[in-house]
Amino acid sequence: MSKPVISIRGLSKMYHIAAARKSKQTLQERVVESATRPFKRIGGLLTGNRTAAADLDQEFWALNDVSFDVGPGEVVGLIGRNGAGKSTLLKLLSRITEPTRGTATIHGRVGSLLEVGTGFHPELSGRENVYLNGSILGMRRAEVDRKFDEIVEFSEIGKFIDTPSKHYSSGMKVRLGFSVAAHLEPEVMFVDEVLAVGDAAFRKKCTEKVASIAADGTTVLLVSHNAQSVTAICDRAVWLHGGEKVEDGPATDVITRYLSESIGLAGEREFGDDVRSGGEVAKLRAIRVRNSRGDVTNTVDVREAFCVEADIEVFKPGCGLVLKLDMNTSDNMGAFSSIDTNNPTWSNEAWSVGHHTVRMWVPGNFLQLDTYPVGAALWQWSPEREVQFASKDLVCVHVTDSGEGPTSMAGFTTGSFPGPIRPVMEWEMESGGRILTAQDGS
Amino acid sequence: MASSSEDVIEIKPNTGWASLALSELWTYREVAFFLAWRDVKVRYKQTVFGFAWAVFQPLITMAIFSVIFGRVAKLPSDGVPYPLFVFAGLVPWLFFANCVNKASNSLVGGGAILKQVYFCRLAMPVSSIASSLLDFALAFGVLLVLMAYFGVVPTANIIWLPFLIVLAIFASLSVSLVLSALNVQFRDVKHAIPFVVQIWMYVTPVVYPMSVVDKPWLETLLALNPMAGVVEGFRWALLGVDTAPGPTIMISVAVTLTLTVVGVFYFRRMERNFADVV
Repeated sequence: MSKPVISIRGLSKMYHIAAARKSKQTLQERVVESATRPFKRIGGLLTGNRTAAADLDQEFWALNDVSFDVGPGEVVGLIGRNGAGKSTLLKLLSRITEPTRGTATIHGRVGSLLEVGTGFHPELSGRENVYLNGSILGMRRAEVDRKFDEIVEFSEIGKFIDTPSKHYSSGMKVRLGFSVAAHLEPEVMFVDEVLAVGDAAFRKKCTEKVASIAADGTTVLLVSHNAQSVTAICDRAVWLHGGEKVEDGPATDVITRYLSESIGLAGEREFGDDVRSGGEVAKLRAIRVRNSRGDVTNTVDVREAFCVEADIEVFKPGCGLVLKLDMNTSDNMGAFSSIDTNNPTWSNEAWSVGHHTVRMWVPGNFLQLDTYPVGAALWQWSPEREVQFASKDLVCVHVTDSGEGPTSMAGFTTGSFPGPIRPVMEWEMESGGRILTAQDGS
Repeated sequence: MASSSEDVIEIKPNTGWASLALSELWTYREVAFFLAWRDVKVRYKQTVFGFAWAVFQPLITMAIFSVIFGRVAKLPSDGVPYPLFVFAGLVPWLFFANCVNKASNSLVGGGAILKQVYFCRLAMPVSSIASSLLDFALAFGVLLVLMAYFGVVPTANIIWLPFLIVLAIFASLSVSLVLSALNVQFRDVKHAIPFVVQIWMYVTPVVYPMSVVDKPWLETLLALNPMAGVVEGFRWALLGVDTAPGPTIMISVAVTLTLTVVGVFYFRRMERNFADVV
């Protein structure tokens, strides 16, 4: 790798936070404490001890000893859960706040896009806000002049550019803000979560814009909760957890592991008597994933059929029950839901008191390579309707590709294979009066 | 483009007193300019009288003071008509008071910007002061009209006026730097400022001339207030009152310079944590 553009060494940031008050305080202690507190704070102020002055006494490391390099033109995604330190890292790199320990060196003009529309004033027109916002973000006036038309065109604000921005819809403000920032032309760019703004069409445009900025050779460090946009734009991902670096590598690999770990669900979950997983009529006793050989697992091959199995105990006679299973994708979109009333022999009949096992079979060559959390809802359907239990994220299924045997990809191994599902389709070809049929991948 | 790939940014913890690096303010001068321009543009938006408010404020204050301190309390005015006397004091004083009020809240009010983007933080209080200069200029115009009305002709001392205005700017800046930085961590400042400014006016010779102070030690003490020299100087330069405030101004200059240096250092030291506590 050539000389790094961003070089981060042991970067750490500590905050002082207020500790929880002791709960078992007598009234006298509380009165004494609240009377002496201002004096302690003034004492802290006079002695230059700012943490005492601000009444903060617990240390919290938002970022702890993080090191990595970013080469020129690399596009790196920062992933991790809320509070993992992603935004803290971007704030340190964009000099908004100082590190407690460690160093970072950045070569080149930095543009940071941490929030769109920074410094927008409602009383100023869109045009005036473009200049104001541009200067705050680090553009010279002449530069804004030069790019002004482009900015307005990208934002789709059109004739409203001279209207005070207080009359703008929130979408318009966000579009204009993003548009200014996207025209910064920095050599190093930090992007935090701004790809999640505006409506779907504009989000797509934003993602494409960032991708094109990256394609022009700009070094980009991007924070996003949306794993798909990271995979789409980034070559490399750095996974932070609890302020520390967990993993650093090719984006698809890191994200796959991040998603499976962050979802953190096993292939089986049992509910004892002490867990509320039902009502008066029935209770969900267990839910598990079985592969085609009947083993309980949370990982299945994409070619393989598997089932989600639920153990239900019925307490009250004479009641009809319905189980619904929801499969979500890793970024929390619904993949599909299924209800067992599809089987007419169960639907309106009362379930006998005792244990029942219900299985939903999902065919092979159907789901995409992803991690699917499974949720369940158990209703009493007759004589009256009442929810017994409903919860998301009970177990999960990782759909993986072992590479053995035909799939829809049919040996097509380069590049991504997009889409929310991955079924094998029937194809046919007509040539010379003969029709050849085949399943793809066979 | 402003800079090339030769730019190198070093990010590391700074302990102790930071270097001043005032050249940074120059680098970010456009931000300061646009923030000041925004303040000016926005200040009188959606008002009927607009910029006339910049003139009403000193005029109405003058009318009230002329009645209370001129007529009722019969304070002396160095031989100048009392309304003109008090207005000549109010013009620099209100500039100072407005600066301190606005600049002290500039960082807290602009908190969202501080958290989102880096630029030289000095630009914020500096821009508040720059935008107050417009109101000052308008009030100053009214002062000239009043002088013409009362038939007062400025003396040659008027050549000192630019110097006095610069002194007023630096006095405002130094106080604002300390208070704005302090306000970030202690919002007590916001609540205290109105009182501090009010009391400050009475230890400044706005409604009375310095000549009524008969004890030399008290006069020296009052001169420690940088605005004392500015206000006295204004009257001397414009209205030709014969008491040249030489010693007072010397003390004011010394105090202002000291305060400015302290203010800039304090601000620079505090600014690295602004985004964390604002």
